[in-house]
Amino acid sequence: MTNKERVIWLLFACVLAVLFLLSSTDLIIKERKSEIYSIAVIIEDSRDDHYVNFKKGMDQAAIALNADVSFITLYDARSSRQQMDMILREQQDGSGAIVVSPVQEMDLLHMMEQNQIRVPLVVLNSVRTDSKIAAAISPDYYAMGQMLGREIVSEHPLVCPVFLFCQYEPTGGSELFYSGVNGVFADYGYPTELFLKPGEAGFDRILTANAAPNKGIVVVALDQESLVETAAALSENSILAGLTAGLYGRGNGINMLNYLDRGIISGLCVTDDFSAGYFSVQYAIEAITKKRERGLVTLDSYYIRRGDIRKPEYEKMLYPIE
Amino acid sequence: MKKFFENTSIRYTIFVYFTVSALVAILLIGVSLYSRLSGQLKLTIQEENQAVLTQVSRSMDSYLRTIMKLSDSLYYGVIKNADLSADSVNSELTLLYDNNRDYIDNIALLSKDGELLEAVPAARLKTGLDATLEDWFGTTLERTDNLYFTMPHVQYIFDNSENQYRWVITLTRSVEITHGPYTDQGVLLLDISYGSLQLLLDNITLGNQGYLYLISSNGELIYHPQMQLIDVGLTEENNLVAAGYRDGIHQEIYQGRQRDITVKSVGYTGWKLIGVMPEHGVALNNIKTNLFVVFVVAFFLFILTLINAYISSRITNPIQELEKSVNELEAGKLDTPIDTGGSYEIRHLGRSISHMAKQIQVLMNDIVNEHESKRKSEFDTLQSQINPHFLYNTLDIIVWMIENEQKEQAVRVVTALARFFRISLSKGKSIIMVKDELEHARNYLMIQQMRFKNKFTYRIDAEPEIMELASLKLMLQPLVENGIYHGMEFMDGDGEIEVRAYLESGDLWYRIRDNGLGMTSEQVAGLLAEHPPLPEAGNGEGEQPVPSKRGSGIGVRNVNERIRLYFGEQYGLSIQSEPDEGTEILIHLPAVSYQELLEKEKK
Repeated sequence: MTNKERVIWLLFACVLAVLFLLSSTDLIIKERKSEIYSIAVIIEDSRDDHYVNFKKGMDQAAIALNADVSFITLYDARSSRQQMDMILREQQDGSGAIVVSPVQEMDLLHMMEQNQIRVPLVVLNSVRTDSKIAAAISPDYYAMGQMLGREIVSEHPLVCPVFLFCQYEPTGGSELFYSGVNGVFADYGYPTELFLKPGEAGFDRILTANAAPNKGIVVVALDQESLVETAAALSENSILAGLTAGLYGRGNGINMLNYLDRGIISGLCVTDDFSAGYFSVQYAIEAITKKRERGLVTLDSYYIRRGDIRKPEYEKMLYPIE
Repeated sequence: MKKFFENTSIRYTIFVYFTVSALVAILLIGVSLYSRLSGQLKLTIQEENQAVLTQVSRSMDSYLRTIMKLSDSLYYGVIKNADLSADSVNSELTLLYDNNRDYIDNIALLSKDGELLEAVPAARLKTGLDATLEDWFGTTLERTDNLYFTMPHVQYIFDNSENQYRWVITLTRSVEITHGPYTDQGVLLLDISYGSLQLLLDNITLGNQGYLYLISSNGELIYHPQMQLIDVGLTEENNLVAAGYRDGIHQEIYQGRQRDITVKSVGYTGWKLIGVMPEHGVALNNIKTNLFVVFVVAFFLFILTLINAYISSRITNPIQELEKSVNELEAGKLDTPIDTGGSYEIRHLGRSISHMAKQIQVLMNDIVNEHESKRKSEFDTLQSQINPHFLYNTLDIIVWMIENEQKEQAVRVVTALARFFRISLSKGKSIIMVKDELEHARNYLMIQQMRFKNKFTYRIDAEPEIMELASLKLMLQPLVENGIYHGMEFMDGDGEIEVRAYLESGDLWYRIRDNGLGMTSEQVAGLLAEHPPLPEAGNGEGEQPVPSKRGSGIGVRNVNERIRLYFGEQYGLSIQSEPDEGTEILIHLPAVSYQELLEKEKK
């Protein structure tokens, strides 16, 4: 046997060995293991009423993408400190990524600057694109506000006073939404006034105290809590309802849609929360697996009135199938 | 290709042919087996999918039948027998609702004007909602004998219902309502919980990555594991095309991927269950399985190649050995042993070549012997020729002696001459005894001494025990002749020639010494050179016997050649000479008894 022949036999044997390792062992080609990604979703509220559709999308993504998602509410609504503690706790408990709807964006950024967050972070309702944020998923609140303002102006062509209700000093998405809607009213000469929730007293007190009869006040709720509270007040108090020319806001919780269906809310700016929930989990997993470095999803906004609820194009968005 | 095989060894050619044949065979077997197995597996999976789909279809049928039976019970058991102007059917409806609330969300009875007559759970129509404008209402009233199933939708028409805004599939049928003496048409509505349908169809997987979905007769999605994702555009489904498929198995390429579609119609509704099985979901289609098939093919090829290498070596090694032997034969080594291993044909060929080589050897030996014999004969003939000058001079001396009345001396010369000729002839023998050879030299020297008038003296000495040994005939005469003619003819003073024969180291030696003019070393070398320049001959064939001429040294060379021809290359003569000092020639012969040699020749 010549040296050349020996080399050929040796090569052949090597090829066989490699083929065996490739086909019959896990040394080279690993069998795809169904890894379960642990993800924590921490919202800014103590209740999940406004996250029903979001959760449906989140659950769908969890099934499709093999994720174990913990949906966490705060003990006290809008407690930024509590939210930061939750983030650290979830991180310590082994979450691969954290999806958070920040109470205070600045607190979150400060935390990230101090490198306290070592897992990928997906931020909801924020369009910030900090390098340490894996993904940001949010509607364009400013554009949403503008869209709502224009719709209100078209529905109320005669100049009327506009009350802007908000639970707290507008921050984050509410602030942008406020700027958008307020800008349109300013352009058209509609007088606006911002009212924050006066402690335990509801917005009905504000309406009662400030509304002048026959002036047809338009109320715009800058956040979902204010909208639900005001709608509830209007549905219970026909006098107050008579004082308002219309109640508007944003959000697509079941209770809001119900008020819209009953005609108490005149118009709503809605977004596809199901997709937001799906994307939040998807982007979190992509950040864990390092498939995507950074993502920014700007959700489309739609303005709907009572008659739009049953339209096929909105039906599944507003009432997603689980 | 032809040129390639012409330049390659038989072993390599056999190996290549065998290996290519094996490869083709293995590939054919491998591909056919793989196709067969893959096809069989695919078929099995398809059959299993179809079985699953059939099972699900039966479950669906059963599910729908239950609902339709409920609808029948509601109509024929409750509504048809009741006079709604007097009785309330709410308790019966509630009872049936409670028994079926796992998959029924609402039961409602509406008049043909869209008025809600009964609803379970308790509810009212939404304020301002005109039920007659609903799609299903008109259709139901038009098709009085049929049940009508809507597409999945959010139930919107009821207010204050516990099942408001739920996803349902509404089943409606036209019913006859009795109001006192009058009968009128109405609509019975059952909201089938979409969740119950999901429970029926969720988590059914086909094969590895397959799934199923449900469509209406016009392709609208009723159920899909990713229905919401499809609606928001995050994924897509080929449902509109699938609506055109008949029951059975189909193949389609969707989004660049081949997939098997199994279709099964659901009874009564016109809905279709669609099973989707991606081609890559079949276990045999994954990369590891494909690599395993390649490995198996390569492994068998490796084993067959090893066997091929062994077989080709077994076949060709004897041929190669034979070729080596033939090469040796070609190189002239006719006594090389011929390898005669391997198969019958090769052994036969080897034996034939071996026989042929032996024949060649015999023939060549014959030729050599014949050639040697011829040379010996030539040398002997040449050597035995008597120089005519010698004869003339000898006869001249005899005449002169007779004229001068020196009769005794004349008698001695004549006697010597007669002996000289007798030994020269020796009955044609070339080998004679030492004593005869010495006698022959003595006779010659005596005659020459007479002729040269005692110008030289000579002495011949020999040990008695060597006299019977064999010697070459006419060996000494040319040498002493040279000594006389070249050593002494022109010498001043008396010459001396001494011939001595003796044994040394078991061999026979002759020494011929003279005190003549001697020779230079170049002359000596020229005398014994294998190919001395021969002006007469004009060529270099020194070993050919040539007539001796005075001064040419040819006589000496002939003697040397004859000795080597008869006794071998190790024997012969050597010359030592110094100018003006004389010359000494040593002849080396084997010490062989003449009688023994004769007996050997006889044998």
